[in-house]
This record gives sequence, C-alpha cells and structure tokens, in this order.
Amino acid sequence: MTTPGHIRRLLPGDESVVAGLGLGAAAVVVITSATLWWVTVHAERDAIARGRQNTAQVLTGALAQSVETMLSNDELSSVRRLLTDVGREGGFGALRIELGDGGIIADSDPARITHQSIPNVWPPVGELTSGLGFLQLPLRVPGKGEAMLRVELSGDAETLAPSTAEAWVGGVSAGALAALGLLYRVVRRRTRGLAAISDALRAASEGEKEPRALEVDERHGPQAIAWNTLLSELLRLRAQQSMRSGVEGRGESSGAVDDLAAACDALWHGLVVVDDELRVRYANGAAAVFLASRREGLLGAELTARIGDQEIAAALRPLAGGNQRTRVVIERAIDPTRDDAVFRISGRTIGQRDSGGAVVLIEDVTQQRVADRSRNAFVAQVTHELRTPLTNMRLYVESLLEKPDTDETTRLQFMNIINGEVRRLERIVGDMLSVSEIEAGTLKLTTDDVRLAALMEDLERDFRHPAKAKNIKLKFTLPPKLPVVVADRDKILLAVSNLIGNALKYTPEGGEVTVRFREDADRVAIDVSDTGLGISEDESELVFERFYRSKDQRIDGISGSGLGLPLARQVVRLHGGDITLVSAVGKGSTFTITLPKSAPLSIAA
Amino acid sequence: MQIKEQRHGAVTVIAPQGALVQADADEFHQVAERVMTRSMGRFVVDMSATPYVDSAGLEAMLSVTEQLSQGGQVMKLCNACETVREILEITDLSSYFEHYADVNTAVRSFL
Repeated sequence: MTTPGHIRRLLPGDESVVAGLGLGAAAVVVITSATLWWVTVHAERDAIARGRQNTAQVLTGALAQSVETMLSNDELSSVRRLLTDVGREGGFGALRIELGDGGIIADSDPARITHQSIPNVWPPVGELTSGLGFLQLPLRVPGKGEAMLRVELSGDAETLAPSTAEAWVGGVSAGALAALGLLYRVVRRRTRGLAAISDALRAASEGEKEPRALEVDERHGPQAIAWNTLLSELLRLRAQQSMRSGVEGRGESSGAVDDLAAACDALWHGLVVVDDELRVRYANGAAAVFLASRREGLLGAELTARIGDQEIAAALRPLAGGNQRTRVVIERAIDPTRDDAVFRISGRTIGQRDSGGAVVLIEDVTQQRVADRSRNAFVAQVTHELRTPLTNMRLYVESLLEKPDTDETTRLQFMNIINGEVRRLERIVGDMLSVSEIEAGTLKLTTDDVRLAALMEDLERDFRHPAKAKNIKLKFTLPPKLPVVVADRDKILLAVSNLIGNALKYTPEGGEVTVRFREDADRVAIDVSDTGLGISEDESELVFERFYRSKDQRIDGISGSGLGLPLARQVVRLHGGDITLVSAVGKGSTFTITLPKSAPLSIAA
Repeated sequence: MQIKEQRHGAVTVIAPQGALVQADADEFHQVAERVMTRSMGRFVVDMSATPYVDSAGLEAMLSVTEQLSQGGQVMKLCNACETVREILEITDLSSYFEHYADVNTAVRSFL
C-alpha cells in the first residue's frame, strides 16, 4: 500500500518532528564534543610548553653564568664548544650570543657565527624579552660591554604530538558520535510509522476527509497497519451509517439495518455497492468469495481493479457516475485461473440525492452455462437420433408409393424395415418420456411379483438375433432356479435390456456378452459383462449422467442418445437398488444391477 | 484416506472412501477447503462410501459449512447412509447441511 500522491505533497518528505529533534540533538552533541576536545588539547599543549620553558630558564641561567666566566677569561672557543654541546644534548633549537649590532660571536650552529673574535666595542643590546618558545638573557663581558644569550626552544606548540589522554578523548567522542548516529537511524526507522500517522492526522486536520487518502505505507510497521485497519473500520462504519440513514430516510426503523445487512450476507449472489468512482462502499460475503478478497480489504478498493477487466470497468463507470439509468449485464470469467468460473455481473445506478454510485450484483452462472452446453449437445444428438429413423421410413415409404408393382418379397422387406424404424423411434421417445417423468417425480412403479426366470427367458429371446447378427456370443449363466422379486416388471426389463443392448452395441464382432445371476439373503444381483471397449475410470460415473456421450473416439460411429444408462440407474434406484460399474479400457465392462428381494420402501427419486 | 474427486459439469463431487474419523477428518477438511476455494463453493460431498462420522469428522464438516455460509452457501451432502443421517439428527446438526438423495440431484441444485 502506498501513500497517495496528493497526500505525499502535503507531507515534508519522510522527515518529521521526531526526525528534526533527532537532528538537533545530534548537532548539539557534535559541537559540544568538538569544543571539549579542542579545549582539552590546547590546554595540555600549553602546560607542556610552559613546563619546558621553566626548565629551559633554569638551564640557561646556569649556562649564562658559565659563559660569562669563560668570556671574562677570553675563552671564546670554549664558549662556542659549550654552546654546540648544550644545543645538541639539551634539546634546544638554537643557542647564540648576539651583540648589540646583531653580530653573532658564538652559536650552537657554527655556520651562523659572524664575528670570529670578540670585537672591542659594540652598541648596547636593546631591551630583552622572553616569550613562549624563546628566552633572552643578558651577558656581561667584562671590560667590553653587554651581549645577549638567545635561546630558542626546540619545536613549537603546534607540532607537539597529542598525548594518550587526548587520543582517548578523541576516540571516545568519535565512538559516541557513531553510536548516536546509529541510534538516530534506529529511532527514526521505528518512529517513521508514527511520523506518517502524525502527518496523516495533520492532513486530516487540514480538511482531508477521505480515509483512503489518509492511509499510510504499511511497510512502516505495526503502528501503520493498525492505523490502516482503523481507517478500514471507519469506512465500514460510514457505509453502515450511510445504509442506516438511507433506511431511516425512508421512514423505516433503524433495527431494519441489521436485518438488511444479515439478509445481504445470507445471499448466495455477490452484492457490491460502489461510489461514483467505482470504489467499494459495501460488499457482502458472497462478493468477497467471488472476488477472492477479504471484506475489509474490499472496502474502499476500486472494484474494477479487483475484477481486472477493462470492458466491465467501461460498462460500470457510466452507471456509477449516474449518467446511465438502465441496467448493464455482462457475462465474464472474472479470474480465468479459477475453475473456468463464469460470472454474470449486472449493475444499476443507485442515483442518490447528492452523489452517484451503483449496486453491482455478481452471480456464479458456471453450472448454468455448462448445462446450456449439454442441452445444446442433447438437442443436436436427439435431432440426429430422431431424424435417422424418420429418413429411413420416408425413403422406404416413398419407394413403395412410387413403385406400386414392387414384388411381394421386397414389399415385405421394406415394411419390416419401416416397422423396425418405427420401434426404434418409439423406444427413443419412450426413453425421453421416462427420463422426463423421473425428473418431474411423476414416474410411478407398478409393483408385482416378478418371476426372474421368465424375465431372463424373454431377454434371451429378444437379444438372440441381434447378437447373432453381430457375431457376438451371448451367454446366460443362470442357476437352475431363479427367485421371485417384488418389482415393476416393465421397468426392470427396460433396465436389463438397456445394459445388454449397450453391451452388444459397444462390443466388437467376435466378442462375448455374459449375463450372470447372484443372490444373498436380502438382495439379488444381475451382472452384464462384455469384452468390449471398456470405460475409463474418469468416465465411470459420467456415463450415468443424462445425455453424456463418452469422449472415446472409438464410439464415434456408434449412435446413442445418452439416455439408456441414466434411465436404467434411475428405475433401479426407484426400486431401492443400484447399478454399479467395473471396467477396464480395452478389456470390457461389467454392469451390476442389485435389487432388494422385498418391496421397495420408497419410490421417491 | 482416499478421497475421490470427480467433475460433474462445473460441480466437483468429493467422495471420502471410508469413515470420517480422527486424522481422516483432517484430510477431508483440507481437501474440502481446497475444492471449496477453487470452485467457489460449487461442490458436493458424496457420502455413499462413508459409513460413519465421529466428532472430529463432524467438526471438519461444520468448519467447512461455516466457511461456506460466509458466502451465503451451505455444504451439500448426498447419499448419506442411515447411520450418518442419524448422527446428524441426534447432534442437531442436520440443518447445517443440504441433503440430497443422489449425486445428480445435488449437482442439479446448482442450476
């Protein structure tokens, strides 16, 4: 979630009051630390320099007395050696004896000497001064005048190396600064959420009323998330308030609002109310499911962003803006990754007094569309199934009409074919009617004692010829004595006939179809096994659905209405039994009808 | 526990192959939740191969139907055997589910 652009403009970047305070504190500490360090270093350096100066004063006082004595004895060369030695060993920068005219008679550096011997006369030396780094002392040369011993201390204050204490002070200051910087960063990160919230509050106080615009970036931490949750709650309450005022405006009691909200949540269609910019103001539970979102997340969000379809957005926008009063209906898969779901999205403007907005209804019509496709496939299939016998009948009837002199044998053959087609047509129509009756719950069972032995004989007789015609071995493996069950004979006959008929239809020439019988204390079972094409595991339940035709390409040339098996199962279930299937592709199938021996308890579908 | 899944048009039929007890109930819960999310509630539970449901199984079924009810739907059961029906009646939970005699009727209820 990001802070909206116009809010960002209101805020002074990411800086905040807290950040400003932090910066100020850091600056004060930096300046204080630096000043302390500078003062400490300079004070210590000064103390060292003064100590050295005092030592030098004592040393040079003694040196001056020795030099005066030597000069009084006229031992200039000894003086010069003494100065050179003291200058080197005593750590002085320079030692020299100057006359009043600036001439130098002795120096720790012999190269600077200007007079090789002591002149007889020289002007008097001016006023002697001493300072930090140098000393000037008077020298009395008996009988000749006054000279000056000038001592320069080695190095100066600026080149003194900082002491260990100074290094410690500096190091600790630097470390403290670094720690302070780090602390500042951590505090700033931690308080960024609060700062953003504070900025949002300021924006609110300046007139920003839209909770969506006051949201803060949730990456700022738990405070930011909590703030956004509060804003969502505010949105929800406003939506509720708006609903409440709408209801109350119509003179209804406020208790009706809660009922209304509960009613909306009980709806299995998604209901969304949007404002004039298509932002969600209310969404019921089903809408949240269809839009794959949490309800709190939906409030205030743009509906079209959730649907993600530009065409729907374009259609809904005029509704929300109040520019279109008519209803808009669009069918679309909102999210193609989700189970091929198809939604019907219909919207209508709400047209409130001072604002736009619309109500959007989202219906899941996936199963309806699947049913439509099956129905269309069924109509095509049934048309084909009905047209084939009709065409055959028409052709043979026309042929008979056009040639009245057709011989008796051909005429009888044609009549037989026509008769066969009429029966086929009758069976298809009969099946369709039975399915419709079962669906409508109007199919009644006429139960009576059914002698299974006689029923099996009828079946064997009916299918003997079709099996022989297709060169299929039809076997009835039955015990010598078959029981009597309570059932509707015609319906049971229809169910078993359908199974045997299918077995013959889907078994290639030379195959085998076997009918077996089993029984236990309560139930009887009739197995119809074939060595036919077999049915895959995926389709083992689907073949019992109405109008379902296997996707197996091997049955392309075989006609069928897709009604036989569902019909057979339904009538057997009406008897309190069932039909089950065990099959292996390429090996064959076994359909088993199980029936209770006693009368069915219920005939409800 | 094996839980068969089969598509009937746009409806998914899940059929637990065994009693809904203990750990199997958890597995059923997971499968039902996954199917519910994927199909947006367009699913049916075929109880034909489920002879018994214990408290854990009931809890799993209630949890799923509770989630469905937030979207205005309830869980659809079909082919429930007498024992399961009795358990639901005795525990007074029957009204939390829609009951159908067979898969096709349950699937058609989505039309």
